[in-house]
Amino acid sequence: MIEHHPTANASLTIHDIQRDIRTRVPLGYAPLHFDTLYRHESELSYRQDVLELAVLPAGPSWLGRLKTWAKRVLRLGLRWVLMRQVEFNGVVVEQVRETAQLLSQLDQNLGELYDTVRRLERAVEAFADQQGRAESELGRLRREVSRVRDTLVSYRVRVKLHGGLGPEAEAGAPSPNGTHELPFDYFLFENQFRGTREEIRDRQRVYLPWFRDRGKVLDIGCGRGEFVELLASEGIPVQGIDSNAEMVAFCRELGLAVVQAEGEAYLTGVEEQSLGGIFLGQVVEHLPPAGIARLLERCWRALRKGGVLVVETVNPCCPEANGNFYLDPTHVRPVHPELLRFLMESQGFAVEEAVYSAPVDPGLEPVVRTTVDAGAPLHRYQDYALVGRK
Amino acid sequence: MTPPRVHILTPVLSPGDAVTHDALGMVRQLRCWGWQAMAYAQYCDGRLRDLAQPLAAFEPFLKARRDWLIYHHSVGWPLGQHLWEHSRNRRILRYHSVTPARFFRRYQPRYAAGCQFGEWQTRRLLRDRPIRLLADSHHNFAELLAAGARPEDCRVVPPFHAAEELANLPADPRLERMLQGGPHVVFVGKVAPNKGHRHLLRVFALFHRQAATSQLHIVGRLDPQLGDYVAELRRQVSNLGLENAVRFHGSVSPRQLRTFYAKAHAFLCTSEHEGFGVPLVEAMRFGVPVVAQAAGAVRETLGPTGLVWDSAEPALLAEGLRAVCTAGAIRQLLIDWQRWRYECEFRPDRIAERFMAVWDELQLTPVRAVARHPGRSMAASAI
Repeated sequence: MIEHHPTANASLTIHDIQRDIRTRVPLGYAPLHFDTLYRHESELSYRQDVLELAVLPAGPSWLGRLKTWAKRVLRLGLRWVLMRQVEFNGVVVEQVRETAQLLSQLDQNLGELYDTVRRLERAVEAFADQQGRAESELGRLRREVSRVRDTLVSYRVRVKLHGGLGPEAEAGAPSPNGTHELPFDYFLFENQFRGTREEIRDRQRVYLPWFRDRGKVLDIGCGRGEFVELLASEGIPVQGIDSNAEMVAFCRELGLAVVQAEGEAYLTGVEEQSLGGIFLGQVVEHLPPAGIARLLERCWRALRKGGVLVVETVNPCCPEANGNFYLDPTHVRPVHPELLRFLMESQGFAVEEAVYSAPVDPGLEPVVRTTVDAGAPLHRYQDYALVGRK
Repeated sequence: MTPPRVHILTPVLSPGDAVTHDALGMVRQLRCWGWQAMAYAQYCDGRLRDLAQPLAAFEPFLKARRDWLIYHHSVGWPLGQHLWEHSRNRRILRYHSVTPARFFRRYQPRYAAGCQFGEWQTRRLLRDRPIRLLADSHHNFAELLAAGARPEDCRVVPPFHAAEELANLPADPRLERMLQGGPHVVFVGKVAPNKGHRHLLRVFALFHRQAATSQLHIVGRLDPQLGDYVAELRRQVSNLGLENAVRFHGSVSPRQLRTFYAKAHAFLCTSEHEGFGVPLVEAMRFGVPVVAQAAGAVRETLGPTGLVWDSAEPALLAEGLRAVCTAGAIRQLLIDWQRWRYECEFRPDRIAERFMAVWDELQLTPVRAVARHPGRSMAASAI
């Protein structure tokens, strides 16, 4: 038996639904038809003089003439009372005529009003279209400005580090794993293929709740410092590290607390159980499995009890992400969610949640949070992250 | 001394008719409570032999002062009036609302005269001061007050219906196959001018422009006496270009009716006069969202659970139809709300509880002199 009205739990009522439907109904206007009203009005005018109509012209017969004469006499006798009726009828007919004219005027005004509203509706629709286009153009320009700004900062950094922008300077750029074997600019590569800093920052916002009120957070492989900036803006104490000197210089240029270091080496120097959280964003796919295990072991050591480790990487179960994986020559091998989970749990982390982001179709939810035991990984998301707790 | 019996009078007892379901529901319920109850009708369907008998069988009980008489009034019935006036039983008037004569004047003067007689009869029935007046709805309650009833004599008890029996029937597989696709909009009710079919077609025509595959199923008896009305509707269908989208199904079997409810995406009601609206209750039971125009007791029956519009504007009703025919939160909310209302207000045991409250109260009411025209015996030939 249902005991409670379902609306007790729902914010929507039948009136809300009706109001919503009413707004979707186009304004309707049908001109009024005055023919009947005017026809009746003319008939009323004809019949208003009851005295005149009471006696019609006589027929040819003597009986008809007699009847007409008798009626005339009767009319003369009743004239004093019937005259009031004729006057009353006159006023009524006049009133009806004026009402009809007023209604006709009203209908005309209503028609014009309707036209005006329709014009306004069309103007509003056109304006909304323009606004939509302008907003999308503004978004595109914002992204472009951000890219140009990042590039400018990177050039400044390069000038500082290498004393120029020439190809020899670019070739000398160190790779993320500290070697100098990459014959291209990894910073520019990231800028072009990873997306703008704003996009990455928005995408990483989902990880914020796990790092609130936990103490100091370490972002290993911070790249252009998106997550470091995000945590700092939330007032969370954060330290970023990256092996790429240009990336580090870029972050410092932006005023972020970032140092150049390898993850493993840095964590060895960190005091035991001193960190509240560690973020490994797009790092583990650059390492061989043994390297991942060693890094996780160091993380376990550095985190205090209850500390959180978030490991984000490319989702190998998504065909599109798999294709893009080999775009980055510094990637070693993709890491399957089950492998990462196994490695984390082997180290002692309790893996609490899986977060899937960067959907292939724009129609999908931007971020999906599931429990790790929920079943098959989501194949339509390009990145995933596992959240482990010490 | 034999215990008092309950006699229920109604002009017609025929399966599928709302008044019949109410009368038979009362018989069943009273028998459950241990009363000897029987329904009597001038035209009685043979299939209802267990619960109902022809009017002649009532004659021996006419003067039994301790017996109860429940008179179901929904249409003018001279013979019923005669019996009422000559009965010495304890009399209760069950009022189902009389359709105003104006709806029929243009199409069938004989029906108009019957309705007019019904309106006159309401006042005559009330003149004899029945012990209790049972109205289907507050709308009917107000009609009774306007006809001269005293408010303290009136109670509102919703009519018994057969929605649960319908739900237990198997679906009709042939009809089920026919009702694939959609959206299917359904209206259930006899094809009569007071049911507002002309407006129904106007609204559906607007909806059909947006949903080209939609179908309107008009389910209900096509009365040959109202041939002009039906012809007018068919002409309108053709003028609107809806020959392939609108179907008049006429009377259908209970299994077919159940299938219509099970397959319908929406119930559209543009009735101009409804004393209660049993099909609305059936739609609520079967999870068919209702879009309706507020007339008579429609708003009261649906409560805050259906899309009931005060305005008769076709565009508004058509947009409402579009909203409920589209799978989504609104459709599901309406279905849930309507089901909730059915469970709380119109489930047979709920109706039985309300009827029981009135019946128990009646047992405590002192018997008063009821016959105003004593002495005259009923002419047997009149039956």
